[in-house]
Amino acid sequence: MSRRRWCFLVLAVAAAVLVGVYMSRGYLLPPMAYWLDVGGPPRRADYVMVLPGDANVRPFVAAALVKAGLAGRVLVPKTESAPEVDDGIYPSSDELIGRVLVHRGVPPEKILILSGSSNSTCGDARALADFLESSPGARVLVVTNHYHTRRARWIFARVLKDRAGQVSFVSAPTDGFRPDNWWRVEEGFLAVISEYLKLARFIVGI
Amino acid sequence: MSASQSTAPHGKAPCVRRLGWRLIWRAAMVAVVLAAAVPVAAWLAYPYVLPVTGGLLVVDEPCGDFSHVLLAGGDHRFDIAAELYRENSSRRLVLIEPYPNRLVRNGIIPSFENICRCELKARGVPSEAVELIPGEVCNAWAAARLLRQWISDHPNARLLVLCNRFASRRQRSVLDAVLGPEDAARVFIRGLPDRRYDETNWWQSRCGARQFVFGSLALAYQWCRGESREDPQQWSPDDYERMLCRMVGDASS
Repeated sequence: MSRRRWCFLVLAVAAAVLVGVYMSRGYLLPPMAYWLDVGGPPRRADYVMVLPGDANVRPFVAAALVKAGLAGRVLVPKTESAPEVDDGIYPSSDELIGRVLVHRGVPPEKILILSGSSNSTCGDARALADFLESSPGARVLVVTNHYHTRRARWIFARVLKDRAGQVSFVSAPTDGFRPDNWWRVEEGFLAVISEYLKLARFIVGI
Repeated sequence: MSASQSTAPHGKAPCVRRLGWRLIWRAAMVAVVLAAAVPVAAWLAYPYVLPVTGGLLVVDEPCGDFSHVLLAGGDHRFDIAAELYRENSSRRLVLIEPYPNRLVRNGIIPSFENICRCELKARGVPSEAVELIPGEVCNAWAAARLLRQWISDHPNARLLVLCNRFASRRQRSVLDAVLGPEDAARVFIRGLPDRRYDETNWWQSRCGARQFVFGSLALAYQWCRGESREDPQQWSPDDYERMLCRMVGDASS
């Protein structure tokens, strides 16, 4: 076979693969988002921890877990403040989560702000590790969005080491998109693709 | 089978194999050279390449004089808007209210309009200088459509849009797509840099890298797909709470 034919064959196969992938995106893309979700059914625990971010959903899920009697108290990590928080335009993440919890009927005395100044999931895991030093037997439910649970579980397992078994993850849904239509909605596309990039970064260890 | 039929394939096969192996060998060599050269080149060139990639997301247009300022986002936007008002008190500051999220609907945080008015008032801008374009929008495309109507109602207006620096290219692109060329020429973009990073150093901070990635992905999505066509579905915390209570009740009974 001549070189030209080889090139043509390679290009034809590549084009066919691309067309095939595009045609079957409805089957290929949902598993990408489902794979990221490792949240389990909520179990009884001593605490529920709300990871900072998406205050439109996560603290609402935590409040529901407390009100259903599945968790006793809520742990909220303190975060590094953003410029608009420094300027007093918006409340800090922990304050916002606290406001939602109280609004949803969680008594303020059941809300525990963890010390530290986290700016990442790793920082949140370290805050929980510090807390578990003083409460070694506590079982904790960690609430975060469904697409974030796999990376969060990996990070918490790395940071908590032997205590990782005391933690289980609850998937919070998202407004605007689901795992089966994420690529059709801009927020879903940004969330899932950036989550894969963060996973790659975590695996590479940068 | 004739002699010619039986010998032709045997005669050709070694030639094909040789050509195939030679191509594979060359491809492997190219791959090895690239694998070695790309990281070295990237390491040598990143101080020059990364600012350029950051700059691809940024639009900062000289606009001369303008009559209105739209506060779409960006760090220090209230300070800058107030300064622009003080420069020329006939200028009007324009707001577009986003569709209220769950926190606003539940009264946990004030609405966008209330926050803006409060912050501008604190910076000495009188309330009559602030104009809200009626309507609530759920994304940049809906905001651009609202703006199209407003521009046609204000034929002499020249509008400066203040927005996040890494969202400015996308903002320009959405406005160009929605507004006609004449209307788009009356709208100017100023991408406001974040106090922690800009396009010249975004990779040095976590938030800069995050915003760069989000800005790039959002721009890519917009170029490839345009506006999202799906109806945004809202999750109900009350339904979730009821479901959990039912689940706990079933487990205990």
